[in-house]
Amino acid sequence: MPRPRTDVDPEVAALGRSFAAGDPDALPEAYRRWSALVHTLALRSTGNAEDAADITQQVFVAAWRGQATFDPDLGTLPGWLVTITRRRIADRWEARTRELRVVEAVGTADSREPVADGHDSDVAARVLLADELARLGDPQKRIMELAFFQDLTHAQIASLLSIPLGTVKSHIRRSLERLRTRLEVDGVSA
Amino acid sequence: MSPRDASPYSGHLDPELLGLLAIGESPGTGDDFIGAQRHLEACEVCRHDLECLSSVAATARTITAQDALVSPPDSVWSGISAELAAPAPSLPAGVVALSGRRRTSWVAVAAAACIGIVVGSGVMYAATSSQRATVAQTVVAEASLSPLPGSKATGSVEVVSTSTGSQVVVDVSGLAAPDGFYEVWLLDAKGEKLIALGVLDSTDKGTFAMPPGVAMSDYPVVDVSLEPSDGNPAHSHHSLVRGTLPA
Repeated sequence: MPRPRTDVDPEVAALGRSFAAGDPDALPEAYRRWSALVHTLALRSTGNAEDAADITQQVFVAAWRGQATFDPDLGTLPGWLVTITRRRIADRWEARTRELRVVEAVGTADSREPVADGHDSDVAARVLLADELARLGDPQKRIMELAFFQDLTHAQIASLLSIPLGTVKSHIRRSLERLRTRLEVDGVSA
Repeated sequence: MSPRDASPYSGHLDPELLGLLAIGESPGTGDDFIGAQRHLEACEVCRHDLECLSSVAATARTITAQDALVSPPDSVWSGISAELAAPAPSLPAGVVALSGRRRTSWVAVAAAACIGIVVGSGVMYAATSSQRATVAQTVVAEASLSPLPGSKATGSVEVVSTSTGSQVVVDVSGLAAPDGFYEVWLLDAKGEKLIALGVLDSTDKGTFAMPPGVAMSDYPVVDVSLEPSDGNPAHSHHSLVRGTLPA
């Protein structure tokens, strides 16, 4: 069920529009914001630093060259970058398989074996959530970390951080919603 | 979104209560909790909401230090800048004057992006290299050449259409002084068939005739290998860079 994307950061939306319009400042800004995300997804999926660096480069080059095909009204720029990343990761597996065939045909020396990658969505979801958590800002970030990783109740969190109970509750709800939106908008919900 | 009724007995559950349930709390007095449970059993909307948020919370709880973001090495950004600035040879004469091939200012990147579109639509340009000084050519395809494992070389390839047939223009940088020579090949997509185009000279650049009757779409992969001077015409099995021309 499509949900209104009320939680999309207006700055992200604006950057998406200038990227699509070919504003030369948009690429370095997009790189600054999301290169770590793209790189981490690639690194976790391929397990290879060289491949991850290479995929990251390809993703941003492809995104910039294909900027005309990105519609900022239909999705977010990070969502689009993640989509390209996942495609490149899949291509990389295919290319490795092909390279192995080429090894047999013309003998390129490459001993790397393709690795089964069955947890792509899980990895992507965790990386995205970790990223979104890091972007929450305080006290939201701290509240969610205490709830997720220390198993504290909202009452315990409120007393620990000296924040009113109602504020903690509303932060928990809004932060969960924001995390959920991130997964949905960036297209990795399984 | 319609406003939600805070009462568990009418409308929908309080969103904040749903949030607490999603992170596994059983908040409020016994009565509130039972009321919430009863509402959830009856209300599909709230149940769906809770399931989604619970699943987000469950995934978030599995985050480990390994999921922390890792920034790419600085070389990635320079690679992007270089790659986007690279198609300088395809520059339409007189449109933008670039002093060097690898200028990486954002003006150059923006220009390159525009050029990509221009070249893609097959616009004629007057070649500026000495090699092609007097001929008007059309770039019909281009690709970057990426290093294969163990290689640090990179490069680019263009297929240009001229009045006398298609040419494959290869430009590689970062090749070590060879013990032997560098040879350019066309491979089919499966890597099962190959055509030797010729030998790169000491400038690591070369222009090769596309063999008549060979379709680029059948041999889209451009490969540069290091060949020993042993008189064996077969591929050495030692490829350094490779790229795939777009269909």
